[in-house]
Amino acid sequence: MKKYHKTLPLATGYFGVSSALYAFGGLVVVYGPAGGAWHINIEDEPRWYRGPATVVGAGLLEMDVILGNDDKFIENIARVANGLKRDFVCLAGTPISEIIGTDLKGFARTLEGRASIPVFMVPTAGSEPYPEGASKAFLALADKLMAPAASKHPKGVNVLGAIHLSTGREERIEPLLAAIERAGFTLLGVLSSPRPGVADPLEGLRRAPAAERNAVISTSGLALAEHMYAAYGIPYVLGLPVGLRGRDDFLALLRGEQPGPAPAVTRPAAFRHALVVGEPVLGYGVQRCLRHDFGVPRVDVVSVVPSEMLFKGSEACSGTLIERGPADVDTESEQDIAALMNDPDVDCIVADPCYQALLTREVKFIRLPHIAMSARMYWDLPYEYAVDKGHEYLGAQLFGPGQG
Amino acid sequence: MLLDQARISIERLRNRADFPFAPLEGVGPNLAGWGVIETCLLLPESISVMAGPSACLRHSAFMAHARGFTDRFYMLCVSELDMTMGKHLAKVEKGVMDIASQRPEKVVFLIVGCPDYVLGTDFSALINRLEQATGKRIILGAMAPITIGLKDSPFTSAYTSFFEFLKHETRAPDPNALNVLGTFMPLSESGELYRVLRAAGLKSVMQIPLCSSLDQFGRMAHARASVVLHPLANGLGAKMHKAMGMPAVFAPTSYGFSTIADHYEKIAAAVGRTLDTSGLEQAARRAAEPLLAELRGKALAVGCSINGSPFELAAFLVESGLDVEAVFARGAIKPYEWEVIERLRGLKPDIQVYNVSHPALCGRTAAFDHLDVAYGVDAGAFCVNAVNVPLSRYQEQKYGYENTLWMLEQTSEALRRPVGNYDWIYRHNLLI
Repeated sequence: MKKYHKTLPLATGYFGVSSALYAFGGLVVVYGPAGGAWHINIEDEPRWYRGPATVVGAGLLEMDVILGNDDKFIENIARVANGLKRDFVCLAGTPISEIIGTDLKGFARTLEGRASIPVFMVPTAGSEPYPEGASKAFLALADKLMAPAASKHPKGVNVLGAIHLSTGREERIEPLLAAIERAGFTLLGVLSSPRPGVADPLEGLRRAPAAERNAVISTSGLALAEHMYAAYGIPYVLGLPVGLRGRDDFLALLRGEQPGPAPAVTRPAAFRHALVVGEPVLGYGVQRCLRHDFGVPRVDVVSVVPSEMLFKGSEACSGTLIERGPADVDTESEQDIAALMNDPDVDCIVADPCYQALLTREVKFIRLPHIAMSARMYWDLPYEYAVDKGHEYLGAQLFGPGQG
Repeated sequence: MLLDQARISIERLRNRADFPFAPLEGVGPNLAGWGVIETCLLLPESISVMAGPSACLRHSAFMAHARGFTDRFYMLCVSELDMTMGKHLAKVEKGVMDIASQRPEKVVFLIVGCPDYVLGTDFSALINRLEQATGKRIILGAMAPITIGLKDSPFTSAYTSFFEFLKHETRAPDPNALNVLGTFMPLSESGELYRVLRAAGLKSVMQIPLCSSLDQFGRMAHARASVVLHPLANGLGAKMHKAMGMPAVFAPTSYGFSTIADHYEKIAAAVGRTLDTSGLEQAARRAAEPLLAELRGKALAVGCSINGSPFELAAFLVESGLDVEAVFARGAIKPYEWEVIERLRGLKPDIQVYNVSHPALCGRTAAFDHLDVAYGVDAGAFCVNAVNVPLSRYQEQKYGYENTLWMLEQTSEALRRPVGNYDWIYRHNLLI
């Protein structure tokens, strides 16, 4: 059993659903008691502030659980969705719907008849990792609203898995998107971060099947990438490019080329053994940057969400930036992570600031917020990871004051 | 107009059924209750262990961390499947045992969530075993919003559970001792209520957040009476009355001069002493006048996240000749508030009362653009151009005329040096 004292349990399935769908103009109904949706918004979803109703709670009460009252909720949801003119409704499961066995699929079917807009459900509970919820949400959305493209867009690229729980504020991935465009590619869809100036937030999703290649930048985008390969024949590149070497390798993979040999490190950092804690695709991006941009000889990655699917091999994957090392582990256990961080051999840690509470010694700590851990707490913190900006940020941290 | 679904004029608000129904829960810093964890941890020498699915724990953890309770709060993740199969009990037992063995505190609040509540999990045997094995008191509590409206709120239940640590005391009433219940931030011992009570010979005034040990808390069993400042403490006050014969008087944090005078009279009756407050009222009225003058001609809104009743504050402001246009409230209007609503109806029947959790309200701020001052962070979230005055219980707890002046001084300060609503919520952690 996982025990938490100094940190927080990570965001779970329905948080992932909300994060994946928030920007698409729909209504995400967290099908549970009051409070669940409230907390997602207030703590984990800073985009709620003064915005339209997007993630809302069903407000289940004891008698609803005993009596069912499904018809009442169907009516309520239809009324709100139609009144607010939302583009779709997503029902996200919670521990209560899981325990009482709510037929969310049937519920969604009935609701769709009354709401006159697309309705789908995502079978989440309250214990699964958030990327599982986000992945299911992307698949459900694609199943409902994605259609084959009339023609392919040569050099068209989709970025998948850009959910705020993994990649933070939208501006954090802007350097990556700009680099992709500068390299001659056309961004068709960035899921789930609609491009500025686009009136229809679902436009990117609709255009996505025309892409030549997908770029999967977090575990949450992987299932959709596999689906799009099966449905539309679009291969994907896996990795979030951090730093200069990551940028060059990533763009080579997007072009369908193999990355060239790594150039010599011009200014090595003084650290010998780094530990990166967080979402694995970003974690491996940081690993590549520390190794190849800054010459850190050993960089271990602690994935706080399951990462095995990144390494299983797939014919859909045309290239990856991710290389599993012998000391890399998957764990979200506070105790395990504390033990790894306090290993005296580790001289540099890159992690969400919440993990600093686990340290029992002085060590170089580079703050890289993981919103699925610290939510709003470090949302406004200035930090970068993507391509050149990531190189600048990590370089400033590695060579800055207190470098250890 | 969508907004019409979320509001009603106070003229038409006659009973609970009139309050605009929210078909789904919208969002905003408007949960007027107290967090269960923060309530439990008011008890000295206690820790809290919450067990449930990660999602439920994460929700509660933020509130506990925001209030600085990290050190005394533990979480045990159990899956829905384990809970449904009853397999989580052994894990929870071991987890609590491990934690209790590392901690010096004498009390462990074991908090479970909606799933265990719905499943009807019986923790009694587990608690008996834990109490025997650890020598500590284990108190079961529920953070179960699924019970809202049907039973005492989870916060009230948690607060009421403190009675477990009073009921075994052999009561020896001290005529000069008084309990003040329902404070989160404690009243200052140099504040108005203390001064008034001490002048009347009540030398010992006790508040839970000021108790440093269970022994000190136990002395609350010997007070001659309790004054309840927040409705959540009514349950504890009533239990102490019923089981110990200790009278409890509900005199909630208020803003209106006449209401405050009434409350002091009720307290005086409960303690059997004369409380000399006449000079205080006159002085407060004089001090308030220039501060109220700053608000003349301004349009005001009052939200339910303030300490006290938004209707009571609105009534005071209207009675002071000010223009309150909107009240943001939740459906759980307290029984004592209906009298205030009736009074407010006579004073200004066109005040609009909004259901602050109605989804139709989310993002619709234009209707409030002309408002100048918004009390409560919930009202501030909608009144984009207004100066926001939180009056949160997490800032300071005041009482009596001093509270009215504090409110007006806070307003004056905010007019001079406004702090944005977003900053109040996120930089100052005024989340509910």
